[in-house]
Amino acid sequence: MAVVGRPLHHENELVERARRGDAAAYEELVRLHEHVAYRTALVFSASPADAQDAAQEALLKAWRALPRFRAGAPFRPWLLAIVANEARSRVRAAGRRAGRERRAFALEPARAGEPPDAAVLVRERHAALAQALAALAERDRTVLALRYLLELSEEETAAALGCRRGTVKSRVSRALQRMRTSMEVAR
Amino acid sequence: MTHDELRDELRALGGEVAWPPTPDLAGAVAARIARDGVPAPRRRSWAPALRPAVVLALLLVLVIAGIAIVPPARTAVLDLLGLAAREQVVRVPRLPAATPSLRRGPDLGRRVTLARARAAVSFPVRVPTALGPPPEVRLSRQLAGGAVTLLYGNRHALTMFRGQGEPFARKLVGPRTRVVETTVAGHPALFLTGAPLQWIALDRSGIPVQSTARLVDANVLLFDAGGVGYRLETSAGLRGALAIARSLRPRP
Repeated sequence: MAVVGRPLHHENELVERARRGDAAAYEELVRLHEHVAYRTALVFSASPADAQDAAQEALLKAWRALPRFRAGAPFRPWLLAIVANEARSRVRAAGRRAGRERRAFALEPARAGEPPDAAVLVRERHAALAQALAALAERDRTVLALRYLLELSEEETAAALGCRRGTVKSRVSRALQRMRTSMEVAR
Repeated sequence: MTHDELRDELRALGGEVAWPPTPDLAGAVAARIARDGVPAPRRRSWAPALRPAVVLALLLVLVIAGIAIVPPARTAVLDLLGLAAREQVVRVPRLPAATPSLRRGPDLGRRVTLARARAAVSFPVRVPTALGPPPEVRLSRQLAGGAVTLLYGNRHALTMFRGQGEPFARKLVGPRTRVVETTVAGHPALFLTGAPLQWIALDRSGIPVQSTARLVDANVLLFDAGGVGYRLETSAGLRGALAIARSLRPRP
């Protein structure tokens, strides 16, 4: 999934302008990061609607917090930390209420040009993989989702989880090991 | 499989998960900043929630289920949309057979006065001022908490009900039915249009009750507000349906 490819020079300039109160620059900055911000919120949220609310509220909080943003620091990890915090705190608050909500999920069509035999093999492998991932404890699933499904960097994953990079490494390693074990048992 | 191979597989799996479309966050944030200056936090009063990461788990389940259920090579796309878990919209490649039926089907319940309906249910029965007083009101007890339908001839039917957490109905839409995401007074809404769709009631465990499957040959606007679900079946288009929904009084 494409959540990278940001021209840093341009981004730094936007951050500086936004820090001085330029709302148009901040809108452009948000445009650069809204996909990854929303998907990060989805990983923590109970529904796409909640993720949307959390991401939007977090982006407004980030706007208010921009004067405290350290000039020259990477912007995306800072932003994702705010998004993840907001999504987590909403889930905690909502956890006290009963109820359920389900929304929008979908499968993408098969990629064109994929040979049928290969497609079948890939499909079966991905089904097993998705099953093993879904069966993991939430803590393991979250770190793997951020790191590999969203392809966040270690630094960004650490920011979203509110932990150190070293902790991300060890949590990823343990989660991968548990996933491998469960897949071997399932064979 | 080594850790490196597993990492690669997970990255590839990331491409299989069809994330919900990203909303226009930049536009929404810019509008809030322009409107409020420094915006105040907003709380959703109507949206209950589950434990964390449910969306991700559901995404993964759908990957598994889709791979297992959807025809070979996954040429079919399966969408599942729901509103506060009360009604779900499922896109399927082909609609199953169902009896074309009337909006005045027995599931709408017995005919009552508006005052009687208001006294019988615990949620506010709202009337769209755009349509005026309803010529006919129906009260159903099939759902816990009841459901009230305002009928305006064959042109409009507005049903209100209080959901109890679990889905109670599923709408199947074929490829020719458009599903438009919109809002009514700030509440997420779905507008279904373009081709007949099938309405299936679910029992308490979520199993379809096939005997009540029916085709709906009308546009449908679904939304939730204040813990109450609204289903407007109408001959009006999106703009007309929204005008009707936004004219509900008292406001949802």
